[in-house]
Amino acid sequence: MPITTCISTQSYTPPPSCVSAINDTLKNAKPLHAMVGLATLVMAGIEQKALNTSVMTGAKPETPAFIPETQRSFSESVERNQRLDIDRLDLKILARIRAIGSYLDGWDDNNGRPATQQSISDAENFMWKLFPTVKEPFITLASDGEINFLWILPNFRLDLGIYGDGSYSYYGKTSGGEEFIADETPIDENLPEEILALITNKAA
Amino acid sequence: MQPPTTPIKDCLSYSPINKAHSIVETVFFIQFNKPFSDSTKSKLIAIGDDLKDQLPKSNLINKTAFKFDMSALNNSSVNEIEVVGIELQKTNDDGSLSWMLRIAEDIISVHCLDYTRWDDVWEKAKYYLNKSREHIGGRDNFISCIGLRYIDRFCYNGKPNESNLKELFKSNTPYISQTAFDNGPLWHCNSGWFEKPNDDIKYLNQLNVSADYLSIDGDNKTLSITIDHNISAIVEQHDDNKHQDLTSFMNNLHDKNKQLLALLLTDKITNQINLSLPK
Repeated sequence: MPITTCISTQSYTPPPSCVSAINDTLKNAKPLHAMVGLATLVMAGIEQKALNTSVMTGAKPETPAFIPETQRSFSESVERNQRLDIDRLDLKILARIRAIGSYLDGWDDNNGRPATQQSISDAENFMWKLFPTVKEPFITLASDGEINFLWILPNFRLDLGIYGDGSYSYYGKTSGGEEFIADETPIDENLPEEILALITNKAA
Repeated sequence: MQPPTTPIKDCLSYSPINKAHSIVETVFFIQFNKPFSDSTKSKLIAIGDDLKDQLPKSNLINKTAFKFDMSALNNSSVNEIEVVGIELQKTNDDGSLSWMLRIAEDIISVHCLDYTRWDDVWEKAKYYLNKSREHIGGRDNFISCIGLRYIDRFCYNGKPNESNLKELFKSNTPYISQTAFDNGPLWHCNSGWFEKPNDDIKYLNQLNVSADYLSIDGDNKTLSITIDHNISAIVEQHDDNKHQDLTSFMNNLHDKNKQLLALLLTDKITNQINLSLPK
């Protein structure tokens, strides 16, 4: 998604090596030649703008360019004010989990406990293993600080909680009445295949 | 298990541009002690075939050399075009860049514009870097610098003139000039310094922070703050074996970036991007 830069306090300044190369050209050349040289340098700069400054000017590393050591150029950024699709499911789920992580103590006006750093990380790691096929759950914070994932699907409902103590628990029931229950399952242990088939698009 | 409740919405005045995180670009790069030889360059350019499934778009990088002969009677000038490297890209459906591998002169860099989580992104970048290094034979080139650059961006959700920078940055952060806090929404603050300058490996930090107006998706002008942090491990002694394991270097640089952000951003914002600090 393109974004346009409008205003900045930084007006365009050529990189120092470019300035010194232009200055050298101006100092050493007759006026007409200087103009040609300057124009060509600028054109070269435009053509090569994606390269680093030493490449832009054709300067070799040993060229005295009076660049402070801390201002050396290693890589050019290529981002052009773009942003990602924030409705993409993986980013949407990460954003929701992280938003929950910013709720403070008493977030529900009733002594609601905040999620711990560990529960946020556990929730992210747990969900990350389910991408890209997982169906979108409702994600909420319970008043005891548990991060809760709730899938309400046509044939299945799954309520899964992550506590931040290295474990998760769940209760699920299919429309046919089959139940799935587990308590204190280690966080790095995958969900049973039967449940994965119901909450991901793999089964479709 | 308690039944889920609906949390009260907590509106942040500044939010990460991608909601889940603020990273618009990550650059992983290694620099060698001298430009690649012609034979190495040819091998590196051929890498396009190896990576055509992952990075299907390929562009050669040309250098225009400008020669200006002042001594000749007719004062001739010559432009020469030379192939100096290659760019391999993956683009999104809308044509915007998603991933790029660039090899030019003495640097191999991987640009990620589709950041998700460090482990996944680094795994992919490492593959591209190592694939490129396979084409650099012999002991002609030594790694002289390993670097990581993060560009983070935050947007202000309100009228720019009412913005309060203290809601984004710690007011006592050593990285932002006090002037930026006191003089309206637009400013920039650029700095560079060496960390541990007396060690074998010197860490060069380059931090450019700026406030601009952006027009997002054609909407109104949005005040945005960009944090561009480049951290480069500059290797003084050339022992290539020591630098084979890029992962430990990059993990270290990644941690250093997080430590810097933790001193820069408020705790509320670091929670919002889940900036978990190394233990």
